[in-house]
Amino acid sequence: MSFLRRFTADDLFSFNNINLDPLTETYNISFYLGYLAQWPDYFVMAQSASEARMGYIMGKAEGDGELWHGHVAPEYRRMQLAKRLMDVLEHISDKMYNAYFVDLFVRESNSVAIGMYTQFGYSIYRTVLGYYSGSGDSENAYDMRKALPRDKLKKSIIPLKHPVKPEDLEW
Amino acid sequence: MQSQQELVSILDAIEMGKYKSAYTMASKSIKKNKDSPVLKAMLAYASERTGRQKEALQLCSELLALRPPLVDDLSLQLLQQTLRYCRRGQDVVTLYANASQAMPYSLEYATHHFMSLVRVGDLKQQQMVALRMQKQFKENKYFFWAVTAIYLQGVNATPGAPNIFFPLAEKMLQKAVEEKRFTHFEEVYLYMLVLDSQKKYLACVKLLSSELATSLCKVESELKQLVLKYMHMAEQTDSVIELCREGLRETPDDWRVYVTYVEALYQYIVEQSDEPVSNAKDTQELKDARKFLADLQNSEPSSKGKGPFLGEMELLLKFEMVEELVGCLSQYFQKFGATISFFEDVKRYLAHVPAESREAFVAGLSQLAVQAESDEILAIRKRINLHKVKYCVTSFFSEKDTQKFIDELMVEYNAGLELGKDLKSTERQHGDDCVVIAALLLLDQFQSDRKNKHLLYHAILILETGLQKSVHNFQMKIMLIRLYAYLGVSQPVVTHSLSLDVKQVLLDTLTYIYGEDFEYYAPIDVAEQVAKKPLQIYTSNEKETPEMLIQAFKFSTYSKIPEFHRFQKRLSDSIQQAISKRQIANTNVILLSKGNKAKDLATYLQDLKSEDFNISDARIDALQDNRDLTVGISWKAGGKSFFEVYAGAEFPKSQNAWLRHYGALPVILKSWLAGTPVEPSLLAPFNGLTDEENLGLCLVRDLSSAVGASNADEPILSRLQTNLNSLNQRITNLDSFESSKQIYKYFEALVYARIASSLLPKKLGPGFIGKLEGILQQFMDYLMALHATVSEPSVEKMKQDWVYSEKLPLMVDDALVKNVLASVQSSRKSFLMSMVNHLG
Repeated sequence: MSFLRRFTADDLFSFNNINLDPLTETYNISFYLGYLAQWPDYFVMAQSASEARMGYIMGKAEGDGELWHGHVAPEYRRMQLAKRLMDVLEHISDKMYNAYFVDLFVRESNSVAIGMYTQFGYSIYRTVLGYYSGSGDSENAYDMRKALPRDKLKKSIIPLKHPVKPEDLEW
Repeated sequence: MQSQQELVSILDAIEMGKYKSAYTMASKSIKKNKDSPVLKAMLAYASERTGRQKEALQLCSELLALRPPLVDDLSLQLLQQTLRYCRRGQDVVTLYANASQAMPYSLEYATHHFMSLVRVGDLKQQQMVALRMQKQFKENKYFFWAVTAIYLQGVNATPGAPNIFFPLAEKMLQKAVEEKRFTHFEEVYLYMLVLDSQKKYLACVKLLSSELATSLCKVESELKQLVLKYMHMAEQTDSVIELCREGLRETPDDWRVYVTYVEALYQYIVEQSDEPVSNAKDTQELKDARKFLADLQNSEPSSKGKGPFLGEMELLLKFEMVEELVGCLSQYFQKFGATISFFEDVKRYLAHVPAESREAFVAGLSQLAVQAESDEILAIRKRINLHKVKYCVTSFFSEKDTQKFIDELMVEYNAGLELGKDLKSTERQHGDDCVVIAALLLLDQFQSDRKNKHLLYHAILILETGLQKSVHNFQMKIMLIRLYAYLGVSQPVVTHSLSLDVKQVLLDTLTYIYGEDFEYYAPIDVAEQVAKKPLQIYTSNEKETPEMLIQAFKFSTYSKIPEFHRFQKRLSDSIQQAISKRQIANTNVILLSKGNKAKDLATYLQDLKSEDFNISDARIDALQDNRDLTVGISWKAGGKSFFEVYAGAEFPKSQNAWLRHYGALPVILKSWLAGTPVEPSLLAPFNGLTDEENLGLCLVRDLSSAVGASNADEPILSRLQTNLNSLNQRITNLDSFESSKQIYKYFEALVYARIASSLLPKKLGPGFIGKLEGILQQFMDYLMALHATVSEPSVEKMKQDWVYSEKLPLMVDDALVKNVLASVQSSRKSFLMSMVNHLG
């Protein structure tokens, strides 16, 4: 049981139980505050009745023309919560930013998450080679997309036939 | 005149990061063009980048003094960068203030001026400059910048003193509404903050309900939440109740609305009518509320959601209807007992189950838990939730009950493993919580039998076993870190803390878990590394947060500017930063105290900034404690958290006295080095401290109180000898953090005595060193004797002695026991040898 609210800078001091999860990355200050400074209503925290932080989602609006879209970076574990957070961001992408689609990146190996996003209506648009590369390891990402009402013909989600490299990403 | 080609070459070198080459070229060119500002700016930049900060600053100050001031873009940019690298934010302000004054129509310079003020946090000047910009460039944005600066001055004003800033900001915003200057919801948000800060909650409601707000806010739900919040704060209970019902009908799973609803009902029924809460049960309003919730529970699709059910429990709790609350808990278990968040949902209500009915309550749930679930995983989840409830509400387990319960948990855990064979390594095993409860049960036993450290080892073995199957379970890792720390075993603390991957802002909130008092039981060089790590985040805060404040101004995100200010302050005034800095200073002093490093110690103490350490009591009291204690499991109803249980004391402990002591210490040593009298205020924290508590600090205090006097040798040596004799008798083997700490404290005392012998030659006679060496040798012999006692017990013996339940050997394998034993042994040996090597 939880509620959703705007993520605040203070949450960076209390999101530890989410960020200690192995699938959640912790970024530098500029990353989080940069999102907050530019898209304050696109960054949402789910908090439980006992005030524990359950999950959060960051979003931004970017792109040109028909590629104008909402990009989200979700950080949560539980499916029901995931659905609520994704719904909010999709709503904002649609109503507030009038985007054509929403996209997200997920590790190729994270079959649990891929299955979940598929259930939410996302499909794999393309593979990004070596997108996750850290100390010695490298993994491909799937760029998953969901068309919003503005993309009436659902052109944005027609899968690319070939994988792309991170440097080929548009933004 | 310098040639264009020369300038281009230097600039190219700078852009390519070839600073040495840029420096050489610029130095050569400037000989021919001594007064060229752009060359000076290039040379200043290249000087700074090649480590010649003094030279760079000299050039900067020449350029800053130019009249008419510098106004070419390239020079200004280079100078700005140079000054920022040198942390001369105030000089950047002067640079752009001058440029902006010289070219008042330049929006670029005015913006740079404003942003330089944001970087140094000068709110008053931000206000002035923004107002000037608004007047000059006629853009509303600068008006809101100015109001933000005024609002922030109000936030920073001394509490209790008349605050002129909020009313001023309000007046300006009121006028701005009339002048139709508002174009973004963020501006409305700023207005709301200004009203909120004056507790004008009704005015907030009015503002947020206005056409202005509704037309500018694109996320309707957000606006509704804000209206509800302020209506509630304004105690408009009638309207709040109505609005909550409306909201819950639309979204019956918004927990915040339930809380507001229940609070508003309580205000309406009890507080505003002066009725005792016991009479509330029969009021029509409460009956209506219960009916409303029941309807929500039965309506589709909310019958599938938890909200209305938890909302009812919240209502019953608030109105003290405990009997019915217990009934609802059982029903909730029946309905949602197989969900992952069940225990988290009901924890707050479990504490209210009356003590006398808890056993029956658990028995009732047990009956419900055996009912079939649609799949095995759900069934096991439900049983585990039952175990958690049982652990939570049972205030005491006898030794026998503990053993029985652990046995049950282990059976459950193993059943979970069977079902989780195909889980990915990033997923937790289904029965992980069984392992955690089993460890908690052992720690509860330890609470009443604190001499029985076998219980701790047993808990460690269970947790380590669980961790083998669920390699990313951070709760297990945190518990293990603290248990090893309590036993004074450093290596696994390092291993597990590294695997937590604590970085960025987590360094501020989580370092305490493994960093607190780590130096008391770890090898000195390892302790130094651990202490140093968190400083990265404070450097990032200094560099990155001001830039993000600038971003927030650029994007007109007024709601975030006060947040970012608070964030910046929370990190810059962080208690963890103060602790880490002192730990580093002390370990540095110790590492440099060897005879052959006297010069390095002198340089270190000379360079040490006293103002970082010698801070007032008021500032220490005002430090921000960002350490996140919620990661310490607290599953016992109304009981202590795991942190308090294993430690038998507060954890993390209050560090105020420690901060004073170890803040004063390096500054005192600095005075010793300089040969100047130690300021009495530095010694004040040591008043009343006894040799038994901290011999080292007492020696430093007594040697400092009369620098220049002589004949201190004998009393000092005698105290060192007496304390060593006592240590010899008290601690004959190393078996815990406490014993390690006492040994380390004595080691510190010897180190300070050794430093005193070289820095206070007038105070300590020439024979002192020789006699001190004698005591040092005795201490090293003592350490070596302890070292010899640290032997590896056999796995069989350990199991026999340490294992509490006979079931454990089936689960914990011998290799694991051997590993734990080896890490205990080698940690203790390396701790002792680290001191021996240092003194030898």
